[in-house]
Amino acid sequence: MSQEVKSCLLQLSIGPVQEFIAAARRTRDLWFGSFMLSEISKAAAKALKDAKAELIFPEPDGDLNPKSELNVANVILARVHGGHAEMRALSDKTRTAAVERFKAFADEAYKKAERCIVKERWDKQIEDVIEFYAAWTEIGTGEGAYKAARQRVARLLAARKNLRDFLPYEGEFGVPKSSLDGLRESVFRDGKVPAIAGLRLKEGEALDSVGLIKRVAGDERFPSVSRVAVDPWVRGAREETLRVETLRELTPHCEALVKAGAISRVRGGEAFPYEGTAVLLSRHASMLAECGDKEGANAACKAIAEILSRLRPQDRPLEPYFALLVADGDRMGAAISEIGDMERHQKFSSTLSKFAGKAREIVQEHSGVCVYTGGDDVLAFLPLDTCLPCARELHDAFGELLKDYKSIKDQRAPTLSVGISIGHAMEDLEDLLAFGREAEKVAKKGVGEGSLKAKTDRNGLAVVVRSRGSGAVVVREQWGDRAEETRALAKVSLDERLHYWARLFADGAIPNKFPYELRENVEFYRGWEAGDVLKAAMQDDIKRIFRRKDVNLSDKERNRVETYIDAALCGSCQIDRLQNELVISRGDARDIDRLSDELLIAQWIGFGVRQAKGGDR
Amino acid sequence: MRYFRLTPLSPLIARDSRPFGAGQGNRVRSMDWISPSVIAGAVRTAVWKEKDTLTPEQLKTIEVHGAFPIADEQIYFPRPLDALIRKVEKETGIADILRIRPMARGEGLGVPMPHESLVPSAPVEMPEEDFKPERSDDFWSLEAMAKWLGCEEDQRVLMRIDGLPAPVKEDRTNVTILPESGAAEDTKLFTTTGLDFVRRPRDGESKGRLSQMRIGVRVNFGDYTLLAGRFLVPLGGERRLAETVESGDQDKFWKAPDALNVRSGKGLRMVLATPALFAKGWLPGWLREEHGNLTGTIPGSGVSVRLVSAVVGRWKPLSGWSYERGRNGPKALRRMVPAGSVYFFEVLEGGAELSTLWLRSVCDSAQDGRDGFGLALWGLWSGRESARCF
Repeated sequence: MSQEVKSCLLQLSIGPVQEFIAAARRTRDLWFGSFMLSEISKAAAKALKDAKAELIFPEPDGDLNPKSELNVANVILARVHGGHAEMRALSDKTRTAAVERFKAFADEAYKKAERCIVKERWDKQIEDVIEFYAAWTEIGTGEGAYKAARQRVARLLAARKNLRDFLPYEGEFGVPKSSLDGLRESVFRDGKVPAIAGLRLKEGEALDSVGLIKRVAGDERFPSVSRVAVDPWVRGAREETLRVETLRELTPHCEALVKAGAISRVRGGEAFPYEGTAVLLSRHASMLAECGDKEGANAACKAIAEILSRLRPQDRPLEPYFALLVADGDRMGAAISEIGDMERHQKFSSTLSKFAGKAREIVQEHSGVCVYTGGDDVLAFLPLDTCLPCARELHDAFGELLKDYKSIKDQRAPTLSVGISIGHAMEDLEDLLAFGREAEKVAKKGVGEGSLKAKTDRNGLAVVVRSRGSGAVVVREQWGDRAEETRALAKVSLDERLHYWARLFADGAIPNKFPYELRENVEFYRGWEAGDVLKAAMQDDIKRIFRRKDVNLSDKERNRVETYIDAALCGSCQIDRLQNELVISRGDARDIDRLSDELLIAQWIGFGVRQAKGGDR
Repeated sequence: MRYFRLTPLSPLIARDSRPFGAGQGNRVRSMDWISPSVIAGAVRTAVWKEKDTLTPEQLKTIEVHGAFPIADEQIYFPRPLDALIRKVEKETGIADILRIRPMARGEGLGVPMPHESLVPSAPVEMPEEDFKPERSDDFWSLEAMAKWLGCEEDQRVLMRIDGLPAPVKEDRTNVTILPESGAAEDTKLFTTTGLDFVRRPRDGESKGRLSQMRIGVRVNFGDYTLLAGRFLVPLGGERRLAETVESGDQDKFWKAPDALNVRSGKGLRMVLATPALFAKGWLPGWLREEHGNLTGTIPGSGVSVRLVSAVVGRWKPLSGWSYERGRNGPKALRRMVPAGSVYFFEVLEGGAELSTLWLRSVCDSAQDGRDGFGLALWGLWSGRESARCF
């Protein structure tokens, strides 16, 4: 009797994730870290495929060549023929492929900065950066065998990762640690910083091997957050003949800044292919401090300031606020665990990959830049005016692609939760990133315990504004359908409602101090007993503010707004869409609080909308 | 032995290893808890202030153990990583916990381990359906710890953890004020994050009161005793102050609870209460390969053991700034095994008295032990590799 060839499911996990995708000062660090992790995972997947493994994650037909469009997540799953000995050999081979890919990046960076690097320190650090864990299990026979094996291998891998073994490491006295995460010592000799394009160290900033690789390996440039933040201004300028001239005039001076090493040229923004700091006068001082040719840069800065001073104040670039979007699929684990066979699982993997490609397109169409899209995850920077439409399209595209993966239990298909965090481009990137991830968490879970109870968790949109010098303002609701323009505001999904308010702010129909006046009202009504009297007083009071002279609403708009005030401050919930805990009116001062938060966030988006349409006319 | 309690007078900055200075980013970050060596340095400095002829070598012989939170007359320890919390009943605070234990070998597990003789650890009685574990509080009370460690059986357990969250992080933004104008200097802005030791009612709790979290420390002064029983020490970044008061009755916090006054059977569990430094990275230097196994003698006990499995968190960097005369600068970086990590041993000979091993350092270097690293708590387990994934 011939011996039957066994087949196994092999699962790998590659890291370090945190170090690659979270430790960052410049957007370049963040973007390249994610890119590098994907490339290393891709190399591992390729090694498996070359050894005749059938890939499940990443998708089986994806292009696994280095620098291909395909983004590969750091967990890889494949079916392989063979027993324990073959699996062990294959996992070793795959590890080697992953480590070699990392070392190729390291070599690139090393060559660029060789003169200033302490070689022994570099070599020692490079040796144990990559984390690699593997587990496999035999796929039995019969019904449910694949499903059982998939769960078993995932649990085995989790068990392996319970022991995060590491080698001892003895550093050197007197050497500063990496400014990004402090995990290793600086690789620069005597604190000397090499003059390499794109390195752009702050005074005293130290980088370890991983930090340096993220900063200088590869050739691609990545737009900085400041460029994303000034994008509405650039688009607005292109709208007007007079200001198109401004952009043209700025060009030679921006080129001078590039030459002086003060800014980088960025890809994607043809009308203004430079970092936004060039036109942000408040950033010129620190930009000069970071650059090599101070004299040349100084002259260019002066010229830029002169050109911008000729514009009306409202036509100049604003303080650089932008949106960081973090999206993640809901109930993905459940969807995967219900898949019974490998072919369907591979199809699921391809669908996710399709979404990742689609997401990149959507973000680009909205003048944003993707830091990462892989599977059901998206991390992107977006201008203020396009972040909501972009979130909407991502959400709808995800729903459409995954609509066939309904759970057997509740007949619900996976959905996409999106968190948007609006912040200042000069805020510490690590903080901005943490804020974005928090927003995503709120989008998923809702605020407080209410969502879980009301079953309105997941499928959420959360928008958080963290302006400098004040606390965070949050709104969150579940996604609703796209609605026509005329639908009652209370029945409109949060994204469209915010955009409606934003347009009113941008058109000057509502004054900017408005949300703050509403807040004062909150204080007045706090402590009142809930009931009809309070309800009537609040409704009338808010409507009174909306009828003031400095509010320029058409009759139709006023009617729409007042109906919304009645609904939002109604004290009982009659409208079926208003089931989320944030929208349920409580019939007291907190309702006004919520309205003012909504308006405050819309106002920030309105700043972008106004700049993009070229200011007031 | 003398026992002290430290009360931070303002939020403490437990700096991570990232540099900070002019132009190096505008952020001073804080770890979740204070490193043992920071406390050791503070206490030794207090001794030196009483007697400034002592040399660094003499001061380093003073043994400073701890940095454990004390709140409402209870001492707390870092949560053990071998507990997987399925669910916590909100009303009663009772947690449904699965024990993470060494796995049964079966016909080969399909998991390459750092050493051939080791097995991975997985939760026992894992339900068929996957679930998202709940995050426990960062610290467990001594009582909960005693219950957790004292149980030899590996089944799932329902118990109150009575946990304590790590101090809340508080951000402060600082500016440089120009003396001549009284205005803030342009671009001279920096933010510090500190640990606030004032405990507030938890989120969602309608009632509650403010209370003070303190830091418990045990000191063996050896030849160089400290006269004062009450003094102020600067602790951590920015030289924030902590009031230090000697307390005679803290003894009970530092002894193994009566329930753990037992002799282990075959299974012995070591839980790190403070981060540890080992000569072999994650693996204690006192374990050696012998006949294909990792075996050794637990420091200072004579109990010989074999390592079966371990649950170890990701390494953490240890750094700091040396103020030693002639040796001023950033210290060399080392890698620590995080607190809460658990090692599963099989006792090869005799049995270990848990109480005699309690809160002694298991680090390979005696100096690391004197600096407060690697203090271990000890408990039982069945000694049978029985966890399964299916």
